[in-house]
Amino acid sequence: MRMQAVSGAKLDGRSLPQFVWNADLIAFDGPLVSLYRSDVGVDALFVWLDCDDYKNRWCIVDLDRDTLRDYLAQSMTLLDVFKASQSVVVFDVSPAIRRSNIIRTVWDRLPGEYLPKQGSFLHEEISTPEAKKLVAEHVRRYALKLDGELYLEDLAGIPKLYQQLYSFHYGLEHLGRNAVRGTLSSLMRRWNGGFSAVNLFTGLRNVIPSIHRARLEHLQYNSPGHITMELLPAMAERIRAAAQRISDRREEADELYGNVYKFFRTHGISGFEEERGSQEAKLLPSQLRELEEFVEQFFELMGWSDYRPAFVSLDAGPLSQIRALLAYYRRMIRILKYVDNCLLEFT
Amino acid sequence: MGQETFKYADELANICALGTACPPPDAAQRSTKAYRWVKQSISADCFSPVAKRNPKRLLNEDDPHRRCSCWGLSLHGNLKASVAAFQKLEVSVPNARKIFGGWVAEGDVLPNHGKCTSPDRYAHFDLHEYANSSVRQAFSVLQSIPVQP
Repeated sequence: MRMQAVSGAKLDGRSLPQFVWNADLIAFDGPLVSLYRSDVGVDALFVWLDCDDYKNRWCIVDLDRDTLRDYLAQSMTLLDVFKASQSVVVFDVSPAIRRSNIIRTVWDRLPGEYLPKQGSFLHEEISTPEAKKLVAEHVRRYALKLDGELYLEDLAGIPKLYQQLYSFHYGLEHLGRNAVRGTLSSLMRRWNGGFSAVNLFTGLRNVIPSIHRARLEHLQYNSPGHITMELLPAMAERIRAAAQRISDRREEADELYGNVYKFFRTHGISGFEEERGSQEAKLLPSQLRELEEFVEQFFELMGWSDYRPAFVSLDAGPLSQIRALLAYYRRMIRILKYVDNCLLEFT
Repeated sequence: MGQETFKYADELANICALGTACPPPDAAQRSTKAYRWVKQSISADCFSPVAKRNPKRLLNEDDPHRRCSCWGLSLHGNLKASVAAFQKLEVSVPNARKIFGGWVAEGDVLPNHGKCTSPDRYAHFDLHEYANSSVRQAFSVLQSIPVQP
């Protein structure tokens, strides 16, 4: 078994972006076509091409939001995805899962046997349950209303906070998606070893494929104005409902937050947004139980009974869990200040 | 070694230790006719999970669910579904025969072979074999898979 030569420009592996796995789209005995997202925010398909006795050959095909949506919806073939790409990066993978022989080329310079054929749709018979789930959710237009006296930092801050809340809800809502569950568990676990809340939100953002990200459609500010986005309506509704819930039960929420903070101080647990070193392992069973109780109370406060089972079953201890929840809460409080001051309205 | 001990038990235990049940919770013992893509002459590789094959067709499987599926064997519950899926796959992955062979083997999966995930609507499921399973011996080559016209 030999592999064909591929013509193109040789690349150093370090020149490629980092890719985060999002979902396998076609898999039989392991992946054949997988969706990744690069650290520069671009979606890419990893497509298996070939193998010899020692190595497998894959290629990376960049694709934009519309192309991904059309491929998932079976209105575009994989061949057309290749044709729409700017370039294709081919690489070999050794048994030790190391990449070598990295070549940047274009689709029409690939050997014919590497190119998908006419009719290469993501047929239901071969698509994974995850691919089917991705295509089942559709984005819609949604507007945040702006009013009153806003400053430049507010115009930067509101979308950032909203994006973080959106990422968090996307994570909780999609814990059934392996990449989301794995990422959230891993980020919360690593937090014990010195991670920050910001990384939690950024990490979650990286497992949202472009078709589900909140995309800015229109920004207008002339009191009143609006930020119009294309996003998953269920997430927008979750954010709106959570904001309403906290507003309605503010006293109770502040009390819970204060109790957790007091517990942290009493037990020498420092750092809400950042943490250095692992503390979870040093906690006594009674302390862990108390933290579990805080997690329970937070879910009750928010009325998130549907999120709870999957969240508490994450491979992360109650300290990481309550920290993640309070990081969310702090961001919600910050965005609520704009709402309370009539500068922002969820529609 | 008990019947409930799976092949690659250590690897599955590592995945379970990360909080992900492997095999998945819906997997159960079943008696069913099953079809698997194989080479014309069935080799050990034809019934090896992707994580064991040489070369492994993996990228970087650090997700526990994904790692779990890499230790299972893909099967179909009927011949038509098996052939149709291969033909549709080959259109997207033209070198599919290099991995899977392009022939279909038929066999009877029995409860003592391992645990099967629930079949999807296209009759596909995974088998996680028991350590003492001889599922490979239960299969024989049935036919080649024609290239989709």
